[in-house]
Amino acid sequence: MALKRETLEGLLLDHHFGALPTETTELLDAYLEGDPEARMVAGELTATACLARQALAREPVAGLPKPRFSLPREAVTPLLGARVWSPWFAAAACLAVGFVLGHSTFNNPAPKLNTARVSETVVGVETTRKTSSNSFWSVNNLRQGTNENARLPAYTVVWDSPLKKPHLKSVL
Amino acid sequence: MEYFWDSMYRQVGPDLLAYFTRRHGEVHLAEDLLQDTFIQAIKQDERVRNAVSSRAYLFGIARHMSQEVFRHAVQSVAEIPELTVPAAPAVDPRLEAMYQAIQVLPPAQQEVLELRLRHELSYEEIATVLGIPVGTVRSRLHLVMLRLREDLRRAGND
Repeated sequence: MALKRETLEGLLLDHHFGALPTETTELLDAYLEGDPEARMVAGELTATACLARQALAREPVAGLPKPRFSLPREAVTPLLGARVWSPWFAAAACLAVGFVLGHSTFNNPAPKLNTARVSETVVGVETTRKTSSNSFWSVNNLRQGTNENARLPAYTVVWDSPLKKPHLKSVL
Repeated sequence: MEYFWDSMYRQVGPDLLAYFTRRHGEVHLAEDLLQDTFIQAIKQDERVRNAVSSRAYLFGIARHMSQEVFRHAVQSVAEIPELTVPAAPAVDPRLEAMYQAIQVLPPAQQEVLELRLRHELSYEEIATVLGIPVGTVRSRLHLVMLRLREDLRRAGND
């Protein structure tokens, strides 16, 4: 189906000016491939636009003068404006990130660290068992005491009256 | 690191200068208008930054400034004088014909053509600058292009 001349020219101009959606551009390209006359029209319009562009660019332009006023210097890009990246905002962002990192670290200690602590304790106990003396507060003394106590017969204190002396009574 | 307004002045400044020079013909006046445009734009800092196209917004201010000058000179916008800047002689006769054809276009058509082809503004940006619907920009531009094509054909036949 042939396009009307006006429609075709409109589409070609929009295409040249980059105002045509991609899908329509593809359809137009396909149409141009099958229609030599339409291709000729497209060539004419493109040539006209190119010449007009050149003609407009012919005029001499003076060099850009230095601004006679001070340009504000708050922001880097139009996309991320000055308000967003103000120093206060940056400081608040740093604090927030630090808090989150710190919180997650203290709530979830690394498992490797726990392993290291356990093995250290075990090694420590072993070392103590082998090398420590049998002093009053030594682990060996405590262990021995516990074992000996376990082997001793069990007694209970019997104190019938505050006027009498208490005495021990075997419970076995 | 480049600051927003430095970047705007460097990127849009030359185009605005060309725009003023073309409309008013005097380089010194064009430079003054360029400075005034930026002073005005900086006052509207927030709006310029948040505009869909900061470039189009600046062109809009520039156009307003230019119209003010014409108004003060007791001239209507419709009577914007045609280009007075002397152009270098064209070697290509087709280019010369095109140049002449553009000179005799109505100011409104010249303006839309210049904004699109010289300053590379999109339909939407031109609509913002001129304060007209996008459809009007499109139809106006199409009309100009078809007219220029006919002028070229005629010049080729002569």
